Amino acid sequence: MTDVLSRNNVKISGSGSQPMLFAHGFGCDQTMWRFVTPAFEPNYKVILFDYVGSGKADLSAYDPERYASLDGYAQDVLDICHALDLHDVIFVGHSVSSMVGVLAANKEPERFSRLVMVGPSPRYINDDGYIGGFERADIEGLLDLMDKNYIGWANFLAPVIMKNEERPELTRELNDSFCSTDPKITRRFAETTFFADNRADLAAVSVPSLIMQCSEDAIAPVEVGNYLHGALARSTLHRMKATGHCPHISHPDETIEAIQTYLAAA
Amino acid sequence: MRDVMNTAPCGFAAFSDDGTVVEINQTLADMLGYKRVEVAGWHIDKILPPGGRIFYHTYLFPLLKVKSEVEEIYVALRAKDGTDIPVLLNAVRREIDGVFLSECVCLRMLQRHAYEDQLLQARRLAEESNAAKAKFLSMMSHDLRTPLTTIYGNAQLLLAEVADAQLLEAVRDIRQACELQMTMIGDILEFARLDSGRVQVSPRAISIGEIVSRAEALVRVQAADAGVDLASAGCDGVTAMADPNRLQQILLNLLTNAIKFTPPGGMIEIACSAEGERTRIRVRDNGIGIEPDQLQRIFSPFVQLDAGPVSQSTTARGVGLGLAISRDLARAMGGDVTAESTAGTGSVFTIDLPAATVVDTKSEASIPV
Repeated sequence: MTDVLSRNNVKISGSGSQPMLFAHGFGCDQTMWRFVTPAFEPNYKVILFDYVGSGKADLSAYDPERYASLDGYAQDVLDICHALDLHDVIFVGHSVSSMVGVLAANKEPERFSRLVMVGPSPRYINDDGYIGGFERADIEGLLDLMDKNYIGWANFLAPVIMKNEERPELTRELNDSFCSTDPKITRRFAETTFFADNRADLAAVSVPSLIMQCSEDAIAPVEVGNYLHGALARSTLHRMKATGHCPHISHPDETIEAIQTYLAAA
Repeated sequence: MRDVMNTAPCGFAAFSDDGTVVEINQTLADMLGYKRVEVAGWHIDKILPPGGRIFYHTYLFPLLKVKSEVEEIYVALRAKDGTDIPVLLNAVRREIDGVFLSECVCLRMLQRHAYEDQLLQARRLAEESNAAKAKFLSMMSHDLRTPLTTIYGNAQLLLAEVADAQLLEAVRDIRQACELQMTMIGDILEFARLDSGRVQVSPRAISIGEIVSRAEALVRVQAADAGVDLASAGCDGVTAMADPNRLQQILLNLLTNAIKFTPPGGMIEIACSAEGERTRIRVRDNGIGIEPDQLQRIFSPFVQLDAGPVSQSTTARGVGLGLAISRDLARAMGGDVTAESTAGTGSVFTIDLPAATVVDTKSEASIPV
């Protein structure tokens, strides 16, 4: 148990008993949830973690074969559920983690009570009538961009003086970890994420889900949210006023309210 | 000041947390081929290529939101005519009149972009080629070793059975050839492992006297057969930070080479010395020496020197990996192997290692013979 918790840098807070497991998306780590989780701590057991290869998870546990598909990331989620003996889990996944949640819930549906998907997409690349928002060349453009920025990757690793006026109490500890990870692993995660196609996994989902669709989301456009709503049985589609792809950091209040409203109605 | 902002030779833009472009200077507008009033009010996604949009939403925006600044980020901006303009971007996010804005400057980097593309391409090719080479070496070595093990094992059995002197000599030749081939394959495998970073060394504080004595003992018969004298001096009490097994491997390699390149009647000396923060072990011979042009290449993999009349057999030359492996192992321990030589006079190979003050007394016991 300790191994998994330490491997995935699991952090537990909150005074409730029902577990809410927050899974970060591609790009950063569990700190992305910091504007949202405090609102759930009074009523839930809040569990945060970093996928292996992200944040402060144990880098030595990274296995390129395991994490070459989203199944490896879903196994991280299930490993944490097993280690903490979690049941009745509300899984909250951002972006690619929404599909990680789908895979985990399909493997062990009895563990999950709700899937909350923030900016989900089962496939990012357009395909024969399906609008994912991107062409393959676009994703290759992203990978090139990442390669170029690895030349100056020290920017992401070097401590930067925190200047965020909104939350001055979040200090150096955050700086040291935020988004800092092995560039090669991040690139592989990008390939795994943006070349994935999880459309075929949607029909098997039995766990009720909330699809949180941002307006003007350049990564998961409205058509994707509609597709998901059609493909996921027992799903609720919530269109947010929030723009962009990261409403949990750009519009945390609206994000919190949407999740709370959904859970209250459940 | 306003004019300077507009005409400065770098792009300037300010955008809000929801990605709305609030302000853009004339330089950036010109760079993109738009009028300033056209771009103001747009979402920043409209001036980014699709891959750049993902990068903005998954990296740039979260970094700005949490760290409030980013520096030297490479991005491409999409111009009105559809072309992508590579720029280097610095941005700071701060509160202005109650609203958080990210202000950024963009420097066009066409030449640097092209240069970095070349670097990236070269790196990718090198990585692919290296991976293919390591895989090939590993597979080839394994495939070669399997039948050799059978030949070697059967030769061993035959040695106990064969009575005829001529046949016995032939079987001994077979066994010797097998041993040589297995050593060469071992070298190739070791080199492949070193090349892919899979060899672990565990340097610790050790006394090197016993390692030198053991290496001497292991090559003494070979030196006697070659008619070469072998001696060591000053090694007792000298310490170093080294992996004892790997140090012995290096030393054996240098001694075997020295024997190979020293004519009968020659002399090989091993001398140890503590020199400040370094410990050095020198293997000196008065053999045929190395020509200056060859001296520069001897640590490159698969390079063999001609032992000339000293060499007893071309099959005894190996594959030319011994020195490359020795140098890589020494470097992995924070040291190096270097060579000096004068053709016709002899050579000195120096193992350089970090010195040690506290000696692990158990270290020598772990050396396999």
